Amino acid sequence: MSVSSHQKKLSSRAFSPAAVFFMGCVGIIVVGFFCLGWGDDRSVVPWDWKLLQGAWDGQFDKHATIIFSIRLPRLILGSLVGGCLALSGLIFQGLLQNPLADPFILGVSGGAGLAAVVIQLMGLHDPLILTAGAFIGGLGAVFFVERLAGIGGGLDRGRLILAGVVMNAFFGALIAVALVLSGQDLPRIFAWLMGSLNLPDPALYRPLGILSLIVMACVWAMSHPLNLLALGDLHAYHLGLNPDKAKRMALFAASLLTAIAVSLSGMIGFIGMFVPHAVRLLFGSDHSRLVPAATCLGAMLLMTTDTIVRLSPGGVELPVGTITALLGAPFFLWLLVRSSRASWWNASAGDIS
Amino acid sequence: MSVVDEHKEAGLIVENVHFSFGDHAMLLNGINMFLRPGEQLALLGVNGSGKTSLLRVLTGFLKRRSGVIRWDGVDIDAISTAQLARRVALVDMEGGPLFSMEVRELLLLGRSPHTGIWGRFTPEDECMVMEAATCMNLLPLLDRLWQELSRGEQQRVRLAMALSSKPAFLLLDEPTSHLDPSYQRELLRLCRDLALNRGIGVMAVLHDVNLARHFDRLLLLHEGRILFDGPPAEVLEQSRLDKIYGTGVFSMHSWEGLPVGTLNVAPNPDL
Repeated sequence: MSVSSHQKKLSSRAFSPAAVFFMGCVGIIVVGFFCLGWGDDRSVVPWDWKLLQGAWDGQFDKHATIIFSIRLPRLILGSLVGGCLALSGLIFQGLLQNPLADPFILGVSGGAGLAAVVIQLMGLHDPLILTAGAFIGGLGAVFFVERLAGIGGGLDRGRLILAGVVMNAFFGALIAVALVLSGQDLPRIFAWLMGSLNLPDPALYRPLGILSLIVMACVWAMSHPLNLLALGDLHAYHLGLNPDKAKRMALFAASLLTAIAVSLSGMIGFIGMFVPHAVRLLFGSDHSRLVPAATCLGAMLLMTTDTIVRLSPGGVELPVGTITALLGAPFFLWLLVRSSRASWWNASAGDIS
Repeated sequence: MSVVDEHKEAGLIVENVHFSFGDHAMLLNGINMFLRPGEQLALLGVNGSGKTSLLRVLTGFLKRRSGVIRWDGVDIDAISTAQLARRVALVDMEGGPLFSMEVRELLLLGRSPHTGIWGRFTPEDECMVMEAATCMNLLPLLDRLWQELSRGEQQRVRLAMALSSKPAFLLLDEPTSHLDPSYQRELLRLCRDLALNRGIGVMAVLHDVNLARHFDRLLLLHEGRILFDGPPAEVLEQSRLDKIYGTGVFSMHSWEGLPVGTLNVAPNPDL
């Protein structure tokens, strides 16, 4: 059999990774464009040629200001946070070999939340300090969990999950105690804990955004080790990968993405668990496709839901995490029913013990 | 290369290897053995005697307590995981991908020891994967999901993954456990072909002494030690099997002049 016929047999019928990335980018631009056109003032739309021309010439009228200074930054923030959460969830599910894993499973949210509450109680209300503190608190919590799980050598998946869940519960209890005992009215903290895209300080928004793009690119480059890790430690090792080193790197990348998302916008649930499963149903199991697919789908989903949040009636913004669940759950169930394949994860395969 | 120059012996050499899980009692208690290129070696022993652990210690997946392991004269501590994976392949039925994965994707991952960290598969890689898949009769299964395969089919996928990496040594952990008799025979033929024609050293953990008699050399592992090491005709002897598996479990026959143990399934006289 010739080489070309071998390639034809082995090459998957799925889209190439570059095609997935391209489709994702187009999707983000299209969704973003429509989201920009939705708001309280329906007459403000980005497909207004005069407005675009004026902005190009440096003349910002009221409408251009609404589009470029109010809606666009929030939209970009939404896409970054959505991408971070979805990609982080994808990494954690593969890394922990657990279909229930989400970005918050290893204590990032608990650590970030506790840090934010402590900072507020200390009387520091500067959003810059709040975001930075949450970022450091989230990463610190994961570092602690990783040390706990690593006691006795190796990096055991079961110990990681248990340590993460316990620390999350502990941090949650500390947050509750701090909030109740302080007796202070902390609407900002509550809004932050429930997740919202209208809080971060622009000074941190840009560096964290750039950092998240760099981490995403690095994760995409590490698709092959992620594919091997998904086979379990034993098989990854015998295919030439040092599983502990790879797991630590993946853990660091995923925690960094989660810490960025949480510090910018609080805890937005559901995206991090739902999007990875959705892209697995759509694109198979190769991380070189899954990484761009999850990132772009997460971005699109959060941009859409945040637009709905902005439009919620009565001027009261619903928590964006609620809308992601409301929108995402039916879509996910539809995917589940539509999927002709028996199951996309194998309950008996995980070496979680 | 200086390490290689110092020890020019080819094959696997194991000297006084000890291993235990954590602080538990020693599971492997001073293992001394060797495996030459082109040799077929079968490892026999009861459940819990340390067969699987021995294979994993030999590849460095489990860290030994003490002792020396040298692959082609190079100490295992001096080889990277990727270098070792290019030289030694292990076929183990434990675990598997949690999320659904097509057979073609899994087979390609078998070439990972040669593709580097970026996973760039060349047409040559794909050629070797197809060769191994053809050898294991997997071409009709390429589009199937791993989760949909039977245990025996999964075992053949694992074998193909190991073969496609073109190892110098092949370690097999109960390779026939889920295979039907025709594939068991194919596997034995394959082992012989790999050993005789390609000079691959094959070491297989087996429970079936009838299959083991087709190997060049047998090791009987008992309580963490190699109790017997020799050709099947010497090792497959009533008193030795009695000592390993318990008195009266096997009864010995002669077949083509070679001793064969068959399970003694007569009713237990004590009951």
